[in-house]
Amino acid sequence: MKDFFKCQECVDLLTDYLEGSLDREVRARFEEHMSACAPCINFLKTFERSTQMLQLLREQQVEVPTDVQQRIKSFLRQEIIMLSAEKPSPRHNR
Amino acid sequence: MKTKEADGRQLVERLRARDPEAIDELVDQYSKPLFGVILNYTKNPSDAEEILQDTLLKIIHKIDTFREESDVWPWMRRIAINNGIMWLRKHRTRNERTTSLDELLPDFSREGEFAVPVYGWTVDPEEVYLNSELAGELYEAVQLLPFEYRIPLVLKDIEGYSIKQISSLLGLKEPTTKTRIHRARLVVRQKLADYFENRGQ
Repeated sequence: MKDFFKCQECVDLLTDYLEGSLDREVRARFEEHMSACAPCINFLKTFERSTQMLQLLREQQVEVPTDVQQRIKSFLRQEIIMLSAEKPSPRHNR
Repeated sequence: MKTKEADGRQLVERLRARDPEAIDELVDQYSKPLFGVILNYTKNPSDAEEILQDTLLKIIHKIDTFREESDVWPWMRRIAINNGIMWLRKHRTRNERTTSLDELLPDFSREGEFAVPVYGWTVDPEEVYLNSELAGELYEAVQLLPFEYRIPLVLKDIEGYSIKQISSLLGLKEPTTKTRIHRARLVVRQKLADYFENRGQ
């Protein structure tokens, strides 16, 4: 007779469960525990939710300080001038 | 990012022609979103600024390899990610503060049950997008993670890379990548749980 999964074992398997990479038997035991354990259900839901919420950081835009922008611009301008002198673009030989 | 692709292509053409005036447009238009991407990998402003400059430099150097049929922004984003990771791997000992992950992971009794009660919380998707405080909490939670956990998490849950892609990018075995992502997610969940509990939900 197989042991009933403990909460800790289920927590260890959450990412595999969400990835769909648990084999059938382990998944069945995982779900068996989940169906009867309120803390684990709360944990699974909040785990899934917080993971999805990370998407919020995907489109963040952050202002670059003006002095840093200026420094970068003058550095890159020098660079593109050098590049143009030593290695003209193949499509734009002038 | 919603950038007009036609403008992006024009910019590519000007950079290919080595037009120094195109630099202003490149920096004005793309430094903000690129900085946003880079700051997911490091919180340290001077590191992030160096990575930004280095990324823009790579964009200029690689501009002839950009393929017309692809979009400019995802191409630039990939350069920022790859470049950021490489840069941080080389320099990270300089500024990294190490955090012990153990105290941020869930606590279990000897019997394998939760040592503290687990509360549920829900967030209206609308609220998620409008709530910059929540975004701030998430950002802080990610930045709390040690480098070797943070990078796989960002690549998986923010950038949407597969475990296989992350493993090959970072030179890790797939089970290691998965374990690190899992532990990092547990920490993020815990930080958000603390936030919602303090908020009294």
